[in-house]
Amino acid sequence: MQTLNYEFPATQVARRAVHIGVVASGDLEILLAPPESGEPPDRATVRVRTSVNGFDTIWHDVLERFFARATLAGRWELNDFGATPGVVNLRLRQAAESATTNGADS
Amino acid sequence: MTPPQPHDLLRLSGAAADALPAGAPSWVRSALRTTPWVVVRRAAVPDGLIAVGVRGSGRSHRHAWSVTPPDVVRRVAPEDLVDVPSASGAEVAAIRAFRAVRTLLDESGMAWGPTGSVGFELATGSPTASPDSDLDLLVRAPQLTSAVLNRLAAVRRHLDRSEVRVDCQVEIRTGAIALDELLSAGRDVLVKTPLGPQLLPHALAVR
Repeated sequence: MQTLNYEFPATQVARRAVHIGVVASGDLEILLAPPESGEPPDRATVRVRTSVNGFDTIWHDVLERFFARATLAGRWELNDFGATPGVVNLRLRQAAESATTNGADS
Repeated sequence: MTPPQPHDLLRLSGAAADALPAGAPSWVRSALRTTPWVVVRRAAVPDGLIAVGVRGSGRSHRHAWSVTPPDVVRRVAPEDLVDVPSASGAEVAAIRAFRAVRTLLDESGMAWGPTGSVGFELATGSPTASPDSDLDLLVRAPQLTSAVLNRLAAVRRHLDRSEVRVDCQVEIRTGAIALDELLSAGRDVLVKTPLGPQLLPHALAVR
């Protein structure tokens, strides 16, 4: 088990808290909460807890690429169970869409 | 013989490891020497090849590879493992949990079986599941009628009471989906298709 922390600049703010994904091997769950009062509205703070050690660089690359496009401020918690970068990307996108639209939550 | 399906376990011939690319990590060769078995992966590969994964001792020890049909001397599907006794006398929690869900799943009428470390251990006879292993299961549900969905919901309620965490994947027409997500009310669901993971509208994925 390894915990990784990242921070990215953001211009948009998550409208509501979302919980996306599942606890299952090869997958991950994402909890995204809008910045609370007192927290910067222009930062995305990301905490990754992963069951697979040693992929820091890949995590950084995947997240950096995602947050370069979806600049959504808030607290992102990723609980990873060995998801591939493809799955991580889809879940990140799903979380961002859920947090910015009025559609159904997970 | 139907083509190998994701999660099938393949025993390879002695010569198969000779075809490993020179750049493969050294643990891969030694893992295959000890236990010449690989797991079929869900991935698109050229015709005539089978996408497989080599399993090492650590969780980060997974190596993507591909083999050819002549490399395969034996093939075991998850459902072939339901009645296999474990090689070692002492069973870890994940294997005990697997024994405990057997009757329920057999009675569900769906094809099912263990995957992950429990499946690997039962197929190969090599101790793989550890005391902190989860139980990975696969259930085949090509037709998701409301009766099947009800049975899956009953399965999930039972699995929730297991001794260890159970990770149950359901093979549906479009690919594989986590049982929890299949039964969720979410708008989009993640399906692992032969062309990679995809987010599909729930209604479309389960149709």
